[in-house]
Amino acid sequence: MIESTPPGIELNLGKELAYIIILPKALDAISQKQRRRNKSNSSALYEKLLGIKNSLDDLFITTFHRNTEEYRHQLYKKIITEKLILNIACGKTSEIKQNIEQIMKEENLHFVEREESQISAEEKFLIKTDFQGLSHYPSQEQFSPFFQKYIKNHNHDKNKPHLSPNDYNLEKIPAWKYFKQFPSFVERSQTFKLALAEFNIPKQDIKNLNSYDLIAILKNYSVKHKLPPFENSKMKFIKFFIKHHEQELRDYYQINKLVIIQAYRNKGLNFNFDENPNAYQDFVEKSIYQMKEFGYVPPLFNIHHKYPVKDCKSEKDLSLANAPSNLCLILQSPYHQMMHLFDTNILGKSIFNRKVKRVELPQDLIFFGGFDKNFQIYHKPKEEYKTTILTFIKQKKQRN
Amino acid sequence: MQELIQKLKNLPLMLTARPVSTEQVIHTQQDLKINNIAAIPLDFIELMHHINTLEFDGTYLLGINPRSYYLDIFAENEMLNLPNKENLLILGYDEFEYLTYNQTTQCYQIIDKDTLEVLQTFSDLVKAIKYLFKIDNDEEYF
Repeated sequence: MIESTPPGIELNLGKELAYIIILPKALDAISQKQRRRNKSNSSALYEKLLGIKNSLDDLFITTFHRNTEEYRHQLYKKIITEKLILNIACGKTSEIKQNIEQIMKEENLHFVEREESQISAEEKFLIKTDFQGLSHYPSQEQFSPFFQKYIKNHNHDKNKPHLSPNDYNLEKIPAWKYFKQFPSFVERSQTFKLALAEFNIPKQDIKNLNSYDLIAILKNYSVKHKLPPFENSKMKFIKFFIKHHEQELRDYYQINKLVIIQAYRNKGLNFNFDENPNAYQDFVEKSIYQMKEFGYVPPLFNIHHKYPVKDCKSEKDLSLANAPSNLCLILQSPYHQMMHLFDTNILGKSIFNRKVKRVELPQDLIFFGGFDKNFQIYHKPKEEYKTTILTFIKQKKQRN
Repeated sequence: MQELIQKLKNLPLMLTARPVSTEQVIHTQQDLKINNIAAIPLDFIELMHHINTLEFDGTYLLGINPRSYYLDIFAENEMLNLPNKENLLILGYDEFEYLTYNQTTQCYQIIDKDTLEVLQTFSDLVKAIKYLFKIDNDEEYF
């Protein structure tokens, strides 16, 4: 939660601002083996490093120390950060990654290493559809051989007598075992049956349908009948977040104006205060409006899956991958990218390496806007949330 | 292309940087070449002259960012370090997929971020970007 600041003590904006300058530069340095623009413009690089040095002073000076232990802790962080800056200057890629990991550890973000238990492509496809909605038709190659053949002859089948939606038993479709793990698909059971009936799939053949076929049939039916858009887990999460934490997000935007502006700069953009002094407030209001109204992810942020989608086999319920407790709204650069960078690049010689190394984030952490606790938001389940969970468990028991 | 540019510009709260200059494109192509990464295709360069980097609702299009690695086509490709980067250039991504250009087959591909399995192939950049940003996806298939 964003706590009220004790009188006389400034929030650690100096540290957060320094990190939002230094860490992207560290990531930048990792990605620059040979780069023309830096080779040909050494004065620009020098200016950048000078900027980093000044930010480091902010990092240390503006931090309030309550006791000696905290002082030592801050001093250690300063040393690591200085090392990081030296390594950025020298372009020592592996050391930079190590320094980032050390800084994150000092900020209580620990990496955990484990074997990946991979989920199937079909399972992943359904997690993706649940998260993003019915955004696309699968490619033809993903359809089952039965369905590929069926759609070729689809026009001929239009003369055959139609079945009633209730003639279909979804349990006879092997892929339904995945679908029924998602409340969003279970809610649409009747629509699935209507779509199958309209598509005139023979009752005895539904056992041959795979997940891709079913999604294609459902999407086609939804488009044809102009059904309301599928409210996906991403939208639900954003609306859930803003419903419960609007004021905390507003506080974050207000306190962190300089950090957000720096994040804008990192992206190659500027707020033009000369032309519009209200530009920042307009940006905040529009972001919050889009979150409330449409469930859009606010600019500069993204949604992080705490427990990786590709590694959720150990979970008995696939839909938990997209549950609010597994999602976290996070500043995309540098924090979200840092978490994914370690996942794929530190352990893996290539992306095919099947080891997982991820930061473990607390279950109730719902918003990550910086290392400091003051820039994080935790969702403590309230009565309403508990009721939703209990209803979900009850529905699941009934289904089983 | 013009229709796509207009649609992208109309996305609510989308963030895009200043259009690229020819000099920036030349430098980036040289960086890619030196580091053995596939070159930027011509129609994507044309797009960058209008829309240079784009961020909307957790979906990203790369471009040239002179200030940082973030959404910079060279830096992000170098960092993500795909196994066949000499033929494959990442042009954008969302939570699950990359939009790439395959230099060998000269087409745009949507590939899975983890397995690199090709999920969709497009000969046309406009269709590929519409797929990534989920634009005009409400057509009947059958």
